[in-house]
Amino acid sequence: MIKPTMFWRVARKSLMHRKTSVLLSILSICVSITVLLGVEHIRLEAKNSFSKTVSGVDLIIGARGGEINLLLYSVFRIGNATNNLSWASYQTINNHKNVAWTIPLSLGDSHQGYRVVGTSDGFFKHFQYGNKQGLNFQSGGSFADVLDVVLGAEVAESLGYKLDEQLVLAHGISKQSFSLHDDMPFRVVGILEPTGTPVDQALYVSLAGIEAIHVGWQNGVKMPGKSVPLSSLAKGGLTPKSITAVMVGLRSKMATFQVQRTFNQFKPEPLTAILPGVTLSQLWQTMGVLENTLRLVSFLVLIASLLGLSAMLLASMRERTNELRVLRTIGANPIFIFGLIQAEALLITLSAIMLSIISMFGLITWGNTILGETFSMTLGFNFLRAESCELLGYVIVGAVLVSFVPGLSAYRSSLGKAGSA
Amino acid sequence: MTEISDQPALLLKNVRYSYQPEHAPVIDIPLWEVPTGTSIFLRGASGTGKSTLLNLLSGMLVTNEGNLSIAGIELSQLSARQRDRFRAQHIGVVFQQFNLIPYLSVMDNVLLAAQFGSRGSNDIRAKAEALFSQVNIHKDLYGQQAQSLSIGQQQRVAIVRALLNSPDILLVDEPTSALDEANRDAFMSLLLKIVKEEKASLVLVSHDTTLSRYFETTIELSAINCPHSSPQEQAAREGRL
Repeated sequence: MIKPTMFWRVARKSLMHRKTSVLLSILSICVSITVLLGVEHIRLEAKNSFSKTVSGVDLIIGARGGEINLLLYSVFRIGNATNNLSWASYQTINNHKNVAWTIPLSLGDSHQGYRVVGTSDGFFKHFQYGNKQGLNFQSGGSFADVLDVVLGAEVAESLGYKLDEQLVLAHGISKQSFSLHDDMPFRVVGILEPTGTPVDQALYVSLAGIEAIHVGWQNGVKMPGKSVPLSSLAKGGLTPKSITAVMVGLRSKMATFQVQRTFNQFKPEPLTAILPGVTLSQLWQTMGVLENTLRLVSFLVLIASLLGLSAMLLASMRERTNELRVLRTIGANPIFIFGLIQAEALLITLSAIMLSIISMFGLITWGNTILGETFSMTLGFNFLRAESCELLGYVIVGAVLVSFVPGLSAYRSSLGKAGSA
Repeated sequence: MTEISDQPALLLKNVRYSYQPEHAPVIDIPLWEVPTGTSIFLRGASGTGKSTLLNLLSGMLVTNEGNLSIAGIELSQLSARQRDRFRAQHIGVVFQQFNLIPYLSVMDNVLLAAQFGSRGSNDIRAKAEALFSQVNIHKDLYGQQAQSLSIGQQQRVAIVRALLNSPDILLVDEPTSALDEANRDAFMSLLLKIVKEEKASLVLVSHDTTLSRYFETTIELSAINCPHSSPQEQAAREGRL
């Protein structure tokens, strides 16, 4: 019977014979496959980079409040803490026998819309993101003096600060703050390397620095005549009364739940201790509706374009009456005719898949230049994961299914009076 | 391959066909025989069941009743699949127009038919080339798309395709209506010559009376097909046979 090479040649040349409509079908399916792959890729990349905003931190402890809220303000710098935890509690946490290190966080000030984080040296030493990657300086180093500031990569980049430049912090987190700490300018001593996490979008000063600029302030308002000259502030006198949250690294992971329980039931002050990984995935789940909506929409787009393919093939049957009659006359059975239509649908779909894989490479390359500039994060090229390949498999199955309609139409018409001329 | 047999190329007995069972038959042929190796001109005006008869002869349609055999094979005894295969191997068909797959090359058109007839070997290419040179299709045209050829060239390619599987019978439908006088003449003598060389039987169907001069035997379709005969006549005929 018919050799496979001949069969596929007939299918291929038949498609090339109807270039325009075939090309439009390919493009339409290509667009929908690209949307499908793109949504899936961005979803997985976002989830991936989201779950990697913080790593190596075993517990985050703040004043009693919502777990997701604590994660949002301590890691993502979104929203505000409702309450602080006292310095004494921090000391207790720091001196706990299972605690290896702590990173205190003191939030509430800003600079040009970027959050200012009061912290300790430990932040640069212990904080990790991604696959346990530590923070590195692209220039300078950690703060040594009270009025030293370290900039996140994006802050330095977008505001154009260099080492040794001076900047003034603002009270509160609003971009247009009228309460400036302009009597105590900070000096840039270090700039961090980009991480693609919220770390890039903040300024880091010592806890002593945060205390220093608030000396002489009451209830968030600068009291006139009460500002104190810096020289009179001994470093020891700048111990904060409270901080916003603390990140904790433990000596042994085995103790995690025990330590979490200890501080959740802390007597002197009501505290909330969270496991960042667990709370991150809770937070991600709250975005599940959006995620599923995107997937649903891209599936519907795909179904629409596959139906379009079916309609195109069905419409072409009218102009192909003679061709099908010739095939029948030279001995093609209806199964061959049906198979030919299926093969054409398959070729169109495979070309569309190939084209959309190429477009994905193009789009990611293009998207990365924009993402890199604004968010200092990039998408990987690994969009052909098992999940996406499974999706492509469904696309092929879908194409075969919808082309049953034109295929059966051709089959039936070739069963009947194929030779009426 | 052609089976050597003493059977007539074509034998029809009491063949009746109607598109709908409740309608009067379009085809009602008591008896018609075409001996092997003969060329027959079957003349019929349009609307006298010409196309239907051709579809029955080529096995695209199946008779409602009666016997229709080609080279001794009873077509109604074959399954649909076997009939398609039988058509590919034993029957060559040339239409008035639209004989070829427009987007395939001349050679692919011919080889595709050969493959349906299970003849895909190398010698088939050689045979195709020999037939092409006989019908004056130049080598340069082999690779060209069929649709780029003139109607006359397409018909000649169709003859090669129809004859390539060494069919028992060649059915040709109104081949000359798209040709002018000079081309018609050339086409007819070429057709008859090549059919003789290939030792095939030929049934050419046309409404054009002038074609009868190329044939020894001319048969009026109305003489063998009497679809509107009365039940009495039918009964009388059945008693006679």
